Amino acid sequence: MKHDSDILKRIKSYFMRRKSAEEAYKFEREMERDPFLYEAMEGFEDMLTSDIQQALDELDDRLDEKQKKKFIVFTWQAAAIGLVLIVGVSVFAILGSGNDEAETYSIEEINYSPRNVKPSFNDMDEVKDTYASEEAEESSEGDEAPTKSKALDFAVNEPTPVKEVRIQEDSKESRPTADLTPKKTQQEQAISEPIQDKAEAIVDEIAMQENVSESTAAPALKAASASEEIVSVRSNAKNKPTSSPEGGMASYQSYLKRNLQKSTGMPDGSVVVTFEFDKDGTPRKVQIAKSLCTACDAEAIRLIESGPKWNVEDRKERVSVTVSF
Amino acid sequence: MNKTTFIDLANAPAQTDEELFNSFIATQDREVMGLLFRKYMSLVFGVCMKYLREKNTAQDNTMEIFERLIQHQPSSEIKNFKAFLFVVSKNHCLMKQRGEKMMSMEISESDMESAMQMHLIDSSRDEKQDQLLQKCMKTLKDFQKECITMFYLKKKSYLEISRDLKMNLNAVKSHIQNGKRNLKICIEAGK
Repeated sequence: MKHDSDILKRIKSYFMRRKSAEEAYKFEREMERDPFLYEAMEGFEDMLTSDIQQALDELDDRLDEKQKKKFIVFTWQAAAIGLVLIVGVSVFAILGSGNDEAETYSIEEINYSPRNVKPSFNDMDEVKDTYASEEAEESSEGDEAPTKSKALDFAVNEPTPVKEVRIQEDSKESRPTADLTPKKTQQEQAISEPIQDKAEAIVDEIAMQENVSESTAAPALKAASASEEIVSVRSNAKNKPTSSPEGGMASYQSYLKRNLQKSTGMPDGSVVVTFEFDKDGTPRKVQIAKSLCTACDAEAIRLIESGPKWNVEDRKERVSVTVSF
Repeated sequence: MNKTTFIDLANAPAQTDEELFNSFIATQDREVMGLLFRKYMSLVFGVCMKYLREKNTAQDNTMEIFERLIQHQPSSEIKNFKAFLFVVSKNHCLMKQRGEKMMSMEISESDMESAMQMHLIDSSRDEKQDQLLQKCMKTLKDFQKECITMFYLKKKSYLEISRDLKMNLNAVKSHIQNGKRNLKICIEAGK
């Protein structure tokens, strides 16, 4: 998506000198009034106008993507939590449904005895229920099964000696289970990790797609700027015979070199400017054809505008000059 | 702030920044904030470039500022969103520059006023202030006086001034800035 806003349009047009002097002045007055704009313009000083546009295009995409990604991550998190819950519940259900089945499952696949796994649920009622059901199953081999389990279920502290022993055993066994809880969480992590991996892989995939689209966009941009250069070279060739600076090209070149005010921070390189002429041969409507940095561009324009007049044949034709920094 | 406004996104540009912002506060609709943020994103990015100098860092921090806005719960109503955004952006970048973590985003009304204060030369003024301004102009250094006069009274652009005074463009800008600051100090002392 191409970033476009009223402010950016005006900033670009100011930098590209597409405005008349009055309009440029108006923009500068606005800068002086608005510190936000002023500081932003300071930030853009050493940037190419095309780089500013590109950076903002990228930001625009990131802003779009930010909302999309949030949504995707959220969905996968939800799916992961859901899956963990389903696995947890079904393990619980399998263990609860039959001890034999659960035991084979736990030995073969998890290597945990079901008793060690179960008490890791903190809810005491659940623990109690589990014991109650175990008791029931164990005693179902015996004769008095239903009454015994019921009694345990509802009155754990009943002072029947047999039951007391049973409860003490249980509490002894349940103590080490506290140490086993971390193992259980590890196990949980092990289950949820592949899901997260999957989610990450998908997010990565999306990121890769982004990269692809960016890299395809880049050559297009380069191609565009290349064609611009060609155009300026053409107009240059066309103009060469008609207009020349007063005193000749050699002295014009030395004027440019002598009067160039290069401040620290300006990069090496060149600025290409194109311009037309006044009636008396003074350069006017100076525009940047190839930018180097905004301060450099301004300096190039200053040089041309305050420089020697030209002998002009055709005022309508634009001349292009390269200023080296 | 109490009433909840639902925003028709298609017609959003007709709404003022503050209406949009307050409707975001009420609805927490990220899209509304996105719309508002996009309008000034170039300025936020520019400010980030000024303080952080590097393009990718500036981009990352522009996004962080957006996140801050999304998470922000203002203690009072925002009267000027642009000023608010400027203060948030600048503070964020300054903190990043110093390598600090910003703990809170509390911004006082006076912070915003001082950040966005219109200069006396730009705002309308009465005769008494005018006299004071004239008096203060005389206290300025030559270059500052000259640049201020050319910019504000002769309405010349930076480029024209730099050409006329044979001065670097950045020097012109800093003379205007410093001149304005000195004028402000002088006028406030003279009140």
